Amino acid sequence: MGTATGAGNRLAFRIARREALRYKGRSVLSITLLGLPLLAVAIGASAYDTAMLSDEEEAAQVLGENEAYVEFAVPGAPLVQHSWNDRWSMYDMDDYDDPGRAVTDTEILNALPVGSWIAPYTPDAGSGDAAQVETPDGLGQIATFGYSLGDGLYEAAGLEYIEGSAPGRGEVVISSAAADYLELGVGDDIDVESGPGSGEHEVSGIVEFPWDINGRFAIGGVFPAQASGWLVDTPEPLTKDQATALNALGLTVWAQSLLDEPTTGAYAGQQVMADDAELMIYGLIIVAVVMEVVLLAGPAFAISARRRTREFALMSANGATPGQIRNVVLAGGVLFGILAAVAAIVLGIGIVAAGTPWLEQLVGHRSAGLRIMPALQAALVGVALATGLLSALAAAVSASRVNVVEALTGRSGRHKSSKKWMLTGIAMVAAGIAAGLGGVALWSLPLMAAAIILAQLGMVVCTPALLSFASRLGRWLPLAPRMALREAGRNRGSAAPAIAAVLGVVAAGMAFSMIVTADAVRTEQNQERLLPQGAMTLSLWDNAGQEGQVDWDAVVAEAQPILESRLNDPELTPVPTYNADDCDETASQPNGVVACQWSLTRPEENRCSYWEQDLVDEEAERAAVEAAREDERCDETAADFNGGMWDIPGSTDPKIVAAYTDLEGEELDRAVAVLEEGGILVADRFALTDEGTVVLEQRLTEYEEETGITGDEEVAVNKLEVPAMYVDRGQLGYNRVFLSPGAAESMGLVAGLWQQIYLVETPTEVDTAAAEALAADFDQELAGGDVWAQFSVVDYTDPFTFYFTIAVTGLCALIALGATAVSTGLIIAEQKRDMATLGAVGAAPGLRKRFAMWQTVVIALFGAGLGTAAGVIGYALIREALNRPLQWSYPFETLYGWELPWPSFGIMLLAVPLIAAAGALVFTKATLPSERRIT
Amino acid sequence: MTVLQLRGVNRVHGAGDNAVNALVDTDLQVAAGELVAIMGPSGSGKSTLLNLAGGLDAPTSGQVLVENTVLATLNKKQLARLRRRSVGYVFQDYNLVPSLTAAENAALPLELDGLSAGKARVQALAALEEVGLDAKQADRFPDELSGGQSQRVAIARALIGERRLVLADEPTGALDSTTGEEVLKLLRRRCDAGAAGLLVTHDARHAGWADRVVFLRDGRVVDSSAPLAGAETLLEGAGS
Repeated sequence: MGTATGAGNRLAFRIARREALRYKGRSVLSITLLGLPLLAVAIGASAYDTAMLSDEEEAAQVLGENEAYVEFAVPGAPLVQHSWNDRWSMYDMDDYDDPGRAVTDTEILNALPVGSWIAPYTPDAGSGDAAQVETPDGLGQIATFGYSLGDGLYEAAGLEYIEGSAPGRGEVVISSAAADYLELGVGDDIDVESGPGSGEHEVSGIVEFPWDINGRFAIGGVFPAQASGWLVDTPEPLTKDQATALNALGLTVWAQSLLDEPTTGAYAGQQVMADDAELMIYGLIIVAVVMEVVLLAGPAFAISARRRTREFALMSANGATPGQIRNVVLAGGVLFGILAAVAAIVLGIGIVAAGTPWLEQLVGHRSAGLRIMPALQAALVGVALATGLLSALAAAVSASRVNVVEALTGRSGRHKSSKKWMLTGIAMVAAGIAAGLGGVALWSLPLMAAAIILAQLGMVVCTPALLSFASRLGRWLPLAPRMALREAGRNRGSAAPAIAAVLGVVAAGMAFSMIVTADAVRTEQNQERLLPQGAMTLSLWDNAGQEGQVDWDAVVAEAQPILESRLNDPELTPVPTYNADDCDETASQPNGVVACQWSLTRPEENRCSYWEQDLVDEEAERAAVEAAREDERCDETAADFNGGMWDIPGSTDPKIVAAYTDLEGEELDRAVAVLEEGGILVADRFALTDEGTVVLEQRLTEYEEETGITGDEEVAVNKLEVPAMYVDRGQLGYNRVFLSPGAAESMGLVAGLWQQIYLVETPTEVDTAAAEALAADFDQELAGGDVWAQFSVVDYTDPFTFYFTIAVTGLCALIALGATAVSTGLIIAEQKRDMATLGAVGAAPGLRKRFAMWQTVVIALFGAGLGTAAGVIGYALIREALNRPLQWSYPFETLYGWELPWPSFGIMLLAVPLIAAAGALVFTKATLPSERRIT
Repeated sequence: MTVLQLRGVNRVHGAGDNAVNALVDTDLQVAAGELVAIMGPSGSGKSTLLNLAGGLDAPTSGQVLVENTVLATLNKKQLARLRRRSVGYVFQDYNLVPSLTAAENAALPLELDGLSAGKARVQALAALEEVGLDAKQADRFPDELSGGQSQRVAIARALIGERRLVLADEPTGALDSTTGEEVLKLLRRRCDAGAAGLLVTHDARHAGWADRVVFLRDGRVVDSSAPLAGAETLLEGAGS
């Protein structure tokens, strides 16, 4: 038997190989469909492995030939370092005393072996002192470092001179990214407008640090010699004792010889411990992708198997068992799977190899060479085999059940309408939904994955019966659509796999679009909208700490011409803002300062039920959160003041009120009236009393400035009841309240001293380019450097999400179109004989076009409709996984909702069938087979 | 020794008003070394009889025995083994697997039965030589062979191994008369060597190669005789 199986398998592979060569087009199509997702993974895996650096490689890249980098936590304050494997060490420094002086370089050197050398170093090119420099388009910023590049430690660390040489007196070197940005070369002058090292300096060289190839920076003695730490070169590798001595000075140590320090293990382990929700999400996405690939690639096998029915019948007549026939088809799946995997891996690695320079630009550092993550690539072969086998499975089973007599005599029996299959399909969908619910309840990946598979397969199983049912509706249709519908019903063995292919792609696209859309809506809900879309503001900040001394009118006068250079008749309206002043009680708290917070209170009956619960354990906590979700009073986001009332706008000017609340008409009048009475506008409707007032309460909290420890006790010291009106949180933004000058005065708030905000109005239409130009004009200091000015146009739109969703949907639509076209083409080819008959009885040539068009419409509509349903089910499960880590916290996190991506629905349900139909109409030949014979 | 027996076989296609009696109370025996021709008009049940004999179809009632084994007692796998080892088919339109060479097509039942490709090829070449095809033609694919050559390959496949029952359904229907005669000679020779043969044909001249002719009409055996000259006269009035 074993011999029979082995010989049978060899025969199966021989037939599969020869079939693949006989029908090269179909083979390429199958391999492409199976291979594309693998190619994406192969590229991703290789790119990730190539781009990522191990701890050793990162240390070698940043430190070069030097031994270590040391950096202060608090100079002189001893620390206990726990992790040693990267630059961002974990450490404890409880109960330290501020030594009150900085540690000197000599002290650091004394803690190092004799013969060591140190040099200032910041292994983060963006962290240098920012300097404003002249660019070809105006002004821009670069980072500056005052390293003395004559010190060999820098070149030993990997600093490479792309061009030129080390800077002499008054000279600088610039990074290659800065050289591109500023369009400067060796010998040119860099013009530093403001910031450290102002003036013109000659560029003596173009340099690059391998760990930051995109950093825009300049190095030279003209800049202040500040750095985040020191490069350390030692004659011998650092020992743990020497590192501990540096810890005692308050320095963290990142040393090449201590990367494997055992204490790192526990901390590194904690960092890489993956969240099970994240695993669940990735698991579900992988299952969904495999499922879609199986559905997409399946039709090629199914249609091929249908064409070979006679061949299989013949094999059966010659003694092939159903299993042997099944193996012949499955061998095709295995063969294509292996070819797809090999092609994807080779191509993927090749693309990464060719694109390494671009990849390095993307990640911002040099790679350690091409790497391919071999384990994952090997796993890809396994996935490809499984995908190929699964894709061919349905076709294989169908082939093994061939009716030999019918196939050999060329007759096709009349198949009964598939009530059994319809019921099976519905049962599978129901089982899928049940598995999904069970998976969510039990938090089980296998159950949730089974839900996706069962639901989609259930729909596929239902498809033939649905087609059969739909074909009965054809009687009311004209000839071409009637034939298309009935042919789809009659040849449901071919049409169903085609529909399954479209279903697979659409399901994936829809699920992904829904995730992206829900995420965007969630982000938008979390977004605090202070001013309406399109509002323009000019913000001025006191840069020099001259509290109350800045002459804001003079600054506005300075800003006015800049505005006028780009806007017609700009009108500035100052917006008064208020802050809590220092607390009088400070003096009574000798050990710290006291934070005085004003907050809104709610009447007792409006308090969330959560706060009444006894949260003794996790179960009680969950029950409380669950109950809170049902309690509308528990949405307390509008009552969350993010730490207090700072820079709260307050005015009775209808223009300002309208700008900050989006109110208009009678509502605006009512709001202004409340404000004129000394009231406030609030975003928390549950704060309002029955009398239309709110109670504000001021609390004192002891706050240790240096330790960050907040005292347990809060003491309410002031209460104030004022008239109030509810305004939607979306309009009031993160401030939650809009004050009246009267209320601000009653609360003891002071007008903003550090910041002035002006609403800018102009008849000029300000487009994106103009807004960016003004922002660039104002990104500068006024009043001789004492005031920093910023111009901005409020823009909450998120074009990226929209275009990204459209792009993904478009891609899926394109694949769906391709799948529709290929599937329809194969079906039409199968119906050549019917076309010849039609031609013989006098059908016009155009009938073939119209028939193809309607056949396409049937496939696309069924596929898109079922795929959308499958996508929604897939999203429902992934949404649960996304929400799982969010749903048991209080105050609530915004959960992923049920926002529908209408553009995606439109593309999938309308555009795909329409474009597919148009394509079929254009590309189908108008000649009927019988005509060709005649001519 | 009786190789094939049909005992009171009925085959009804469809049900109720649509029921069609393809074969009615049919009894037939074919012994080793005997070639039996089945003649009859279209729809008389010739192919149904052949399909039942090969286990490709099952009778509605009655029994079909091949080498004393009742086919109804066999499961799908056992039926497949029977077809690999005991029954050979020859069809009107060649029915070769397009992705296999002539030799591989001939060797198909052996390979399916677990014989290595090499050993199966040796037997296939011998079988092909027996039907007049050389080694060069043996390595051609079906689309590179003529109709006569293809049918020879099909016969070689039907005869390969130790098969005792050859079922031929209009094996000469797609061939010219000369080639058709050669194919029938081959069949006759195989039966003379000990196989039992069942030949479905419309052509009385071809039936002349048989030891016995069975005439079917409307699913019933209407006569059975030796293949005398003018045998076609028995069909008169049977419609066509």
